[in-house]
Amino acid sequence: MDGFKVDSFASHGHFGPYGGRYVPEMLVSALEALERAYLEARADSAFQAELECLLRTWSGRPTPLYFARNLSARLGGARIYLKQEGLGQTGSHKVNNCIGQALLARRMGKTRLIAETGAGQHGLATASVAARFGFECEIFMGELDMARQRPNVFWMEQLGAKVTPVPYGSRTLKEAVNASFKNWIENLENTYLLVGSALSSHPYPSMVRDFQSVIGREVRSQLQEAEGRLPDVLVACVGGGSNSIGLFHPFLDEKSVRLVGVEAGGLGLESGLHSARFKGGKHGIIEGYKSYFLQNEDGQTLTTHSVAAGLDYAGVGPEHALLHDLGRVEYVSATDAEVLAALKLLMKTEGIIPALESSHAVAEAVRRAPGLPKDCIMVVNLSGRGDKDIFIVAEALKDKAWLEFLERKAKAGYDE
Amino acid sequence: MSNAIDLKLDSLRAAGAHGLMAHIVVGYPSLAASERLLLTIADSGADLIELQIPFTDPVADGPTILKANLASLANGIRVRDCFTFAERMAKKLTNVPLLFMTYINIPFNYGVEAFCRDSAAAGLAGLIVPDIPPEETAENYHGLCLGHSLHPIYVLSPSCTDSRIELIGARATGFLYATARVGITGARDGSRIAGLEAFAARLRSRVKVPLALGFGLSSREHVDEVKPLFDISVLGSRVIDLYNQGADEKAALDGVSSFLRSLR
Repeated sequence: MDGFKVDSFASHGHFGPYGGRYVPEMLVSALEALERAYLEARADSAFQAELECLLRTWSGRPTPLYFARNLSARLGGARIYLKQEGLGQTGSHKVNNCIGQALLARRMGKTRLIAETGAGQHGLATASVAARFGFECEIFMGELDMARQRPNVFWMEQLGAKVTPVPYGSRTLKEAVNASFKNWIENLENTYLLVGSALSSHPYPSMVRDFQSVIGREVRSQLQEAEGRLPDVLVACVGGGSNSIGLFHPFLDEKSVRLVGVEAGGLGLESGLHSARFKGGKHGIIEGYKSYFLQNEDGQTLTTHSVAAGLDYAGVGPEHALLHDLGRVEYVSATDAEVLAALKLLMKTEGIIPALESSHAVAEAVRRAPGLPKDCIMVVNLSGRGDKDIFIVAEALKDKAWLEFLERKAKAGYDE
Repeated sequence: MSNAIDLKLDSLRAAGAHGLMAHIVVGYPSLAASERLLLTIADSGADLIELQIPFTDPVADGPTILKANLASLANGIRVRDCFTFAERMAKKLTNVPLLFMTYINIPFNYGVEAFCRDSAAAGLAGLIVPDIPPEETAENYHGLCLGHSLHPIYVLSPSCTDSRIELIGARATGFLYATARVGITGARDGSRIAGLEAFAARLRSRVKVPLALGFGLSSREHVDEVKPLFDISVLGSRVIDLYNQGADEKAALDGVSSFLRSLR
């Protein structure tokens, strides 16, 4: 291997020992067809031009790279830049991948998009591209996530998608992934499974990473313009791992750039209620790929916890697993309490409301920046904006006025 | 020593008989009840029986078997309980080959070599692990099965290309498990199975081992359709559905028994 970038298409989707295509045989031909279609599309300049045009005109790319002067001054260390993925269409980085895969689905002649979602951001992005391109759309979402992310469910439905609750297991993202996989198996002819993170079976981890790498490419050129050099530290949250691999990938072979992934520490690693796969997990082969998973001694996946629904997942993308083992990316975790404190700090210093997922990256910046020299450049990926989290955050912050508002609205009801 | 699956299939062939394979989830609805269900199934004429080791994420299973998996795990069933159960059952059912069915993460965690060794020692004759295609060696799953005289049973479906069928067919030992449709497990209505003859012909011309057909078989009519084309019919979700419909355990076991007997 030269450097840290793996050509997974030359290795049947393997990243070292991780990744692969551990699926029932009936899915192998569908995944092979998807791989062929993607490789053709990737090499097709017309496809790339349409993707680039949609990213620019429909989604609003490039997203800004913002120098967080106040936050940097408050922390008194590194110069912190924020990559504002939340300012794109649908409010998170998820849309980058959805536009790419929707174009691919159309090219493959599919008429229906299905997806799994945790926080609802991927579901929202999928429902949006489905509306834009005229696909039928069904989103699978754990019952628990539906309850705690109602605003996104509301918007998905308004966009024309059917949102199907998944009532079993931990009723979160893991079960939604499972349910979408099953639905795909049942509807291979007309349906395209739009996987939302850099995981699942080959070619999804590589394809999603490619579509998300626009984040890192933009950071590279924007920082070149702003500072005339490479960053020193990149920080991003890691659930499945798509926003982080998208930020990191263009820098993997730049050895001077430190890469930091932040997992969900939940109520603390010792509590057992977290989603920190690298600290608390072990090797496994689940839901079609080999990686690190939170699982018990027998290999049964464990329930996870995070205040951020989008990070509440038992597995992590296979490329991250390799980068972890190689020591190229440092994986840390932030607790729910640290995350809420970081969210409040960013709101008060910069007037920016990040998603709870992204607030994990901010929490790491808060921890790390003060110890770094003043000429050090740190880029924090704000993978999404926090509008969707209003109910969770209001509850966590015990905001009485908000509660009274909800009660008043509920009592008043709505006109028919 | 010959594998019990081979002996069973030889005897079925000699008698010109069609085989029936049934499926239970170990520990569903409880370990003791799954023992009674298993013995009833064997007594009602099943020729082979799959013992599913429950898994939290059974991707190929539909609602009936998925719920049984989760209920068994909620009962606290561990992998080691499944081995103990299988060993005890194999001693009781000397004429009915037993196979473990599960997903690759279970043997992977156990250690694939230890899993194969202990399965053989417990008296199992084969393994059905649907999420391990031939490209993924998974610590030499295929070779270790053969090394411990277990048949690694592969699952094929109508969506498989001819070249995949040839590839898997060349590796297959014991028998090959074909699915009646592209989908997940689960009983279904309707008496005709679409495209069955063409699928059987596509398989027969490329696969030398006996063929089983499963996924969605739920009636006498289905099995009658399958009989002239395949060597074994697999009844999975339908048996569990029937069991679940019983007003009490006796009625549940009677329901399963009369259904299986009606297929003869």
